[in-house]
Amino acid sequence: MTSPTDGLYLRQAGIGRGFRTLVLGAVGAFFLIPILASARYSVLGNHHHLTLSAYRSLFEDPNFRSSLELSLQVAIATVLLTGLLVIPTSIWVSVRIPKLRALLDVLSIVPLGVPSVVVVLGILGAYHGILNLILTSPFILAPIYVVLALPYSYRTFDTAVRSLDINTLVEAAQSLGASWSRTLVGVLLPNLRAGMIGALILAGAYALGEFVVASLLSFNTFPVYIVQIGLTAAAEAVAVSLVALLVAFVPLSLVAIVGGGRTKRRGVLATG
Amino acid sequence: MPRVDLHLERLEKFYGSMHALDGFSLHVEAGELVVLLGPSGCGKTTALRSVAGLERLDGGRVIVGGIDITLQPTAKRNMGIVFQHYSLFPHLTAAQNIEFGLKIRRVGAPTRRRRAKELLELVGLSGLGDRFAHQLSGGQQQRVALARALAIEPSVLLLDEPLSALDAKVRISLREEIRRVQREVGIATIFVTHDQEEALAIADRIGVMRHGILEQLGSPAEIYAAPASEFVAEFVGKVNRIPGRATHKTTVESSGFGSFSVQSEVFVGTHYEVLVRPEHLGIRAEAQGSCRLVEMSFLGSSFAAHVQAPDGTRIVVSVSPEESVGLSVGEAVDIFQRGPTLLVLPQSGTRDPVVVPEFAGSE
Repeated sequence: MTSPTDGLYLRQAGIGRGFRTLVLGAVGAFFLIPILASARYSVLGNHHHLTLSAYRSLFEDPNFRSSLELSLQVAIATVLLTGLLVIPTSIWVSVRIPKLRALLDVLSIVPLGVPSVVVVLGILGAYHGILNLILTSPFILAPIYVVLALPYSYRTFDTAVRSLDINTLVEAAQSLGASWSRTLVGVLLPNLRAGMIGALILAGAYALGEFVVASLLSFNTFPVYIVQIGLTAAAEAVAVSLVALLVAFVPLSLVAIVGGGRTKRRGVLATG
Repeated sequence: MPRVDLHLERLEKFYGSMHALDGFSLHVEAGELVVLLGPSGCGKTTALRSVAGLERLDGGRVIVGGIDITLQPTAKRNMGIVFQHYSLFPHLTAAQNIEFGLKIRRVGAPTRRRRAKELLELVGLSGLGDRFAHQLSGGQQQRVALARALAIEPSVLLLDEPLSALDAKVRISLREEIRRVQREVGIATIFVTHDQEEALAIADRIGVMRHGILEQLGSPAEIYAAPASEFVAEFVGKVNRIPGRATHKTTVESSGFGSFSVQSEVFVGTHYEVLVRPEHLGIRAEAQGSCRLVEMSFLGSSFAAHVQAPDGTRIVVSVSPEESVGLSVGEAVDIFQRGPTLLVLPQSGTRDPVVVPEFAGSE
C-alpha cells in the first residue's frame, strides 16, 4: 500500500540519496585530487615524460632509510609506552580514584594548549646537564610524544572506559577469585579492545607525523627529512610524501582490519 | 557444597562523617536466607559489600564457618555475588561467564563445561549457553549471574538488589526462582532490597535497617504483625495513623473514627497516635456515621476505601468485594476495629514509642 505520505518519503529518500552522493563525491575529490596530482607530479615532474627518477634517487639516499627507520622506532616506542602507562592509568583511576578523573581530563588536553616550542624549551631546561646522555638519544622523543598525544590517546581510551560499567565488572571478577592482573587481561582489556586500538593508533600516528619537537631537538626523523628534501628537490619531496602516506596507511589499515575482523567474528558467533 | 554459617560482629563503617554501619551484628545460619531491608542510605548495601570484602571496614569482624576473614581480599573470600547492575562479562558467552571462576580455580575444561551446563539448567536457561549478554533479557542476564556466582561453590551467597533493574512481572517470577535455587543449594544467603513486598515474599528472616543499625530482626510474619518501632511499621506494609486520647488504660478514643482497644497500657488523659493496618479496620454504611467515604480504589482482590473524619484526618480501610456492596462514595460511614493495633505512640514530641506492644500470638 502506498499512501501520499509514502510518496513524499520516497521522494525525500531520492533527494537524500542524490545529496549524499554529491557530498561524498565532493569530500572524496577534496582528498583524492591532491594525492592524485602529487602522484602525477612525482612521476612526471618537470621532465614532461614518465620517469621514476624521483623515487630512485630517494631510495638511494641513505638519509631516507635512516630517517624512516628512526621514525618507526620512535613510533613503536611511543605506542608501547602509551600501552604500558596511559591505558593502565586510565583504568586504575576510574576504578580506584574516580575523583582524580576530572583532573586527568583537564591534564590530558593541556598539550593542545602548549606550543611545541615551549615543550622543547621546558624539556631542555629540566634535563639540561643531568641527563645529557638521554637527551642525545632519539628515544627521548617517545616519552615526549606520549604526553603530546594524550589529548588523542587518553580521550579515545577514556571514552571506551566510560562506556563500560567497569566497577561492577572488576568487582564481579574479583568475587570470582580473579587477581588484579587476571581482571585486567581476562576481563577489562578484551572489552576495551576497540578503544585501546584506537588510542594506540592515534599515539603511533602522532609520533610518525610530529615535526616541530623533533626538528628543534635536532633529530632527523621522517617528517624532518621530508621538509629538508622539500627545500632542495621538489619532485623527490612529493614522492617522499606519498611514501609517507603509504607508511602510515598500511600499518593502520592492518591494525584496523585485524581489530575489526575479530569483532566481526564475534558478531557472527553471537548470532549463530 | 560446604554448609557454613556467617557471623557479622559489630561492623563499623564511616563515609566521612556518615556512620554507614554502627555496630551492625547479624548471624546467618547455613542455608538461611536473610533479607536486609531498608531505605537507601540505611547501610544495607554497605553491610553486604563488607561481607564480600568490597568495602573496607573501620571495625568489627566477618566470620564465615568459624574462620575470621575480615582482612582477606575479595578474591580470596569465595563469595558468590549477584549485583544490582548487569555484571556479565560482555565478551564471553553465558556458559563462559559461568566457567570464569572455575577457570581461575584451574578446573579442567570437561568438568567446567559440565558444571556450566548443570547450572544453566538449575537457573532455567538450558540451551542458552552460547548467548552473549547483549542477546539475553535483563532477567536472563541476572539468572546467568546467579549461576556464575554459584559455580564457584561459594561459602556465602550475596544478592545486592538483583531484581531492581527488572520490570515488575519478571521481578516476581525471578525472586521465586532465586528462592527455589537458594533452597536447593542450601547456602547462607544475604539478600539486600528496599522492596518490602520482595522481602516478605522470600525471606526466612528480615533485618530492617536504619542509620547503620538493625532496627528489627525477625520472620516476615513477626516484622509485619509486630513491628518493633514506628519506622518498621511505616516501612513494611501500609499503616494508618489515628490521633486520639486515652480514656481507659487499654482504650484510645479518636476524634472521628471511634475508639480503639490497644494491646499495651496507656495513661488516661494523654494524647496518642494509634498505628493500625488497613485490613484491621472495618467500615459500615451508617446514615448517622461521623465519617465520610471519599474514595474507593479497586486493587483487584480488594478495595482501598479512603475515609475522612470530621477533623480532616484521612485513613485507608481494606474492604473485600462482598463488603463493598452497599458502600457508595460521598456517603456517611462508621469505622470499627477488627484486628489488633500495631503501636501506640505519644502524639507529640519524641517519635520513639514509649510503649512497645506485646501481642505476638494474640491474633
